[in-house]
Parts: sequence; structure tokens; C-alpha cells
Amino acid sequence: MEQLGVTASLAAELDGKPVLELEAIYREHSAVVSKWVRRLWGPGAVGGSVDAEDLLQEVFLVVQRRLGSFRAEAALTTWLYGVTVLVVNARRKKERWRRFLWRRAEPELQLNHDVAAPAEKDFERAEASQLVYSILNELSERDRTLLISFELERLSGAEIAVALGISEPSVWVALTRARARFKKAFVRRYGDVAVGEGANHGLG
Amino acid sequence: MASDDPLLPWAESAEDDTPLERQFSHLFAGVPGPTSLGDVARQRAFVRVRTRASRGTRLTLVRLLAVGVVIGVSGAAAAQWAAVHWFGMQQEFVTRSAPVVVSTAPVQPAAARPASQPGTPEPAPVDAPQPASEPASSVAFPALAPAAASVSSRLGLEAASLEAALFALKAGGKANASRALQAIDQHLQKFPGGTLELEARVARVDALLVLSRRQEARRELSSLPIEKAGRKNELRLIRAELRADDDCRAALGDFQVLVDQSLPSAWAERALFGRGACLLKLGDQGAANRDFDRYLERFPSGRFAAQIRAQRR
Repeated sequence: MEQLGVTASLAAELDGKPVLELEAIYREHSAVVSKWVRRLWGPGAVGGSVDAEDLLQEVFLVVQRRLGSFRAEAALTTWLYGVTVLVVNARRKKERWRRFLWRRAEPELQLNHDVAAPAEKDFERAEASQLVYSILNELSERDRTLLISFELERLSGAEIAVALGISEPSVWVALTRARARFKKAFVRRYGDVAVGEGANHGLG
Repeated sequence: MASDDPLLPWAESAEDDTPLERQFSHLFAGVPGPTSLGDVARQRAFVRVRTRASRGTRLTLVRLLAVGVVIGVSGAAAAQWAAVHWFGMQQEFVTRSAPVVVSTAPVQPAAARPASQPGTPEPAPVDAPQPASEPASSVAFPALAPAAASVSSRLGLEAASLEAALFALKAGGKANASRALQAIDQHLQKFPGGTLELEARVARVDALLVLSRRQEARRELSSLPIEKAGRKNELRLIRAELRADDDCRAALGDFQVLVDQSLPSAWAERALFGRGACLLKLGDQGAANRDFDRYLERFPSGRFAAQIRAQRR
């Protein structure tokens, strides 16, 4: 998470107090926030019902609303990551209800037209992504978020603690449990056998 | 990643991990990093953030409006149900108790009785008030009206208490009327100044008339705000007939009011005859004769027609 820790450039001094402007934050962080949105949502296909652009907008609407309460005790990017987690999880919850009520298919995050479909050489990586997320989606929202943040986004325990509003020791305890549940779900689905390397991943 | 973190991501795990963890290491390392949205899409999103023109905002407003409409309609329906339920129940007391007086205690004006003054034309006496035929056995009071039994409010308790008395009164007969009167008196003591006090006092008048306790019924009626009662014309007629026992001047006012109104024929007949009889008793024979002529013209086979004709012979 190379963007974490960057705050100084966003603070303008006015009457001795740092002032954060939404436009500056957006200019500097919208790209990485859109990546987080996709990371937290999971892989999807073009034509899905959930639009990454919509989620990005929702994140920055929340940022706009809460910017006044942001304190520079934490890195701005960590705070932004926390907001993104909240927005994405809220949307996922809403989508779950919609699916339950209307029996809709699993929504997929809509990729934009400027993103090309994975080339053949990336097929294995795409399949690995599908497999990992299919297991993650069986877990609770908390476990899923922890594992994505730690295993995929490679956040440190301290950053996760700040972003999710929990203590760092709790992060490690929760992560250990989340990992155990991930293993259990994986074994339940594929058995306690090594998944072969390569394109198949033992799914065939 | 901080170097002192107790856990390492699976993708960076060491060689001494279990086979499953090595598998996870391979899998997680293989998950590609997401791409960011393009500049155009991000610019579009920012414009929407700035203008707050969220795609979902209108939909949310429509949903809120729909929820508001549903709540409003439900509230109105609930209010209407409550109004019909309560007012309907109170109306039921009035309409249910009405026949008690009419059927069991038609009041005979004193003027209609044989005149005490010699030489004065005497209208034939009207039918003596017949109490309702006595039932074989007196009815048992309902413990509580089913509809009101679950109501814990004061009004609900009042309604239940009064309905028990009205139930007995409606059953007819002096024994039941006596029980009803007792129940009404208890009700009035229990709920002084209650919402249903007027209905209870009217029911008390009914019970007293069934028991032929005319003087008490008269006193009760004299203190009743008749204008507020649902049966004001009937109660005014009864009061006039009771007053006519010994105070025709007072009764005349009530009869006058009633005759000037468009009443059901049974009440109009009693009012016209009562006024004529009172006028006769007060010595205004000319006015009395006009009322009797009018009576015979309007009710040639009325219940007092024979008495009037006999008085004129």
C-alpha cells in the first residue's frame, strides 16, 4: 500500500490549522481509492450491476461529509481506506439484501471500458483471484475485510487497526481467527489436498 | 508491512509453512492488483460528488416519499378504525338503550288522567304505562363486554361498566331494571364526572321509569343537560309528561318546543295531546280545543282520539 502515510502535501495552512480540500484529496487519491474499491469488492466482469464509479463517488461523498472531523492523528490514506471499507461493506450488505429480496444474481463490480479484459497470459492470475475471492466471500464481512487488507493489500497491523477502528492486538487475534476460518472454508470446498499449480488449481 | 508484525502475509510466508499455507502463498501471490478507474471515469465521479447529484439520491427520495405515503395512509386508516370503533361503541349505547323507554315506560301526563276538577272537560286517560313483561328470570350481568374487557383505559372500563347495566335494562322487567339501576348508581359513584356520565344518567331515567318511580325520574331529568343527550327530543317529551303531573306551566314549555318541531308521529301525537291537556288544565279551553281539533285531524285513529271525543260529548 504505497500510498499510505502521505498527508503533508494535502494540508494547506490557514490560520495555523491544516485545511484539507476535497478537490486536492480527490486529485491525489481517487486513483488509489478506486483500486481499493475494486480490491475490497472483488473481481467482476463488465456489465455487472455495481459500478466502481458509483462506489468511488459514494466514498468521496462520505469523505466530503466527514472531512471536518478528520484529525491528522492518522495518515490521511489510512483514514480514506477506512472510509472505503465502510462504503464498500455497506454496499455489499445492501446488495445481499437485494439478492435475498429479489433473488438477483451475485452483483459484480463493473469495470470500465478503459480496462481491457485479461489477456491469456493473465488467465492464471485471474483464476487465482476468482478462487481466493470465492472463499473470502464465504466468510464474515469482518474476516473478509481483514484478510483482504492484510493478505492482498499488505497493510500493516497498525494501519488495519486505525482503518477499522480497533486495537492492534485485536487485529492480530482477529487475523489469526480469520485465517483459520479461511483454511477451514478452503478445505471444506477442495479437501485437504494441495491444489496443483498452474491454470487448473485443482478445480477440475 | 512493519517488520515486527507477528504475522506475515501468506504471499510472503517462509518455506517452513505447511503445504496448505504454501498453497495459499501461491494463490495470494497470484492475485493481481486491481487497476484504477480511468481519468474520465474519475472526473465524472468527482463532478457528481461536487454537485451531489448522486444517481441514487433521486431514488432514495422516491423511496422516502413512498415510505411516508405508506405511513400516512396506515396512520389514517388506524385513526379511522379507532374512531369508528370508539364512536361506534358509544353510539351503540344510545341506540340500544333507546327502545327501553319507548317500549316499557311511555309516560302518562297527569292531564290525561281523570280530571279532578268537576265540570272540566276531561280527556280520556291514556293507556297506563305498562312495564315490560317480566321475564321468567332475571338476566345475569355480563362480567365485562368482550370488546371492552381488554381495554385498560378509563374509557374502556367505563364503557364496560355501563354496558353491563344497559344489558340488564334491555332485558326488560322490573327485576332487571332494579339491578340495572343499582349497577348504574355504582357506575356513577365509581366514575364521577366520567365521559359516559350523561349516558349513564339517561339510562338511570329509563330504569326509574320502568320501576314507575316517576318523581325520581323527573328529578333526574330536571338536572340533566338534555340538549347534550342523543335522545334530546324523547327526553324532553318524557320530562314534559312527568312535569305535567303537577306543573303544567313548566311542562307547557317543553310541549311547545316539541310541537313546533317535525317529530316522528308517535312523539308528535303525545306532544300535541299533552299540550292540549295542559292548556285545558290551565283553563285555556279555546287553545286546548284547537290542539284537540288538530290532533283529531292529524291522528283520527290515534291512541288519544277516543278520549278527546269522549271528553267533548
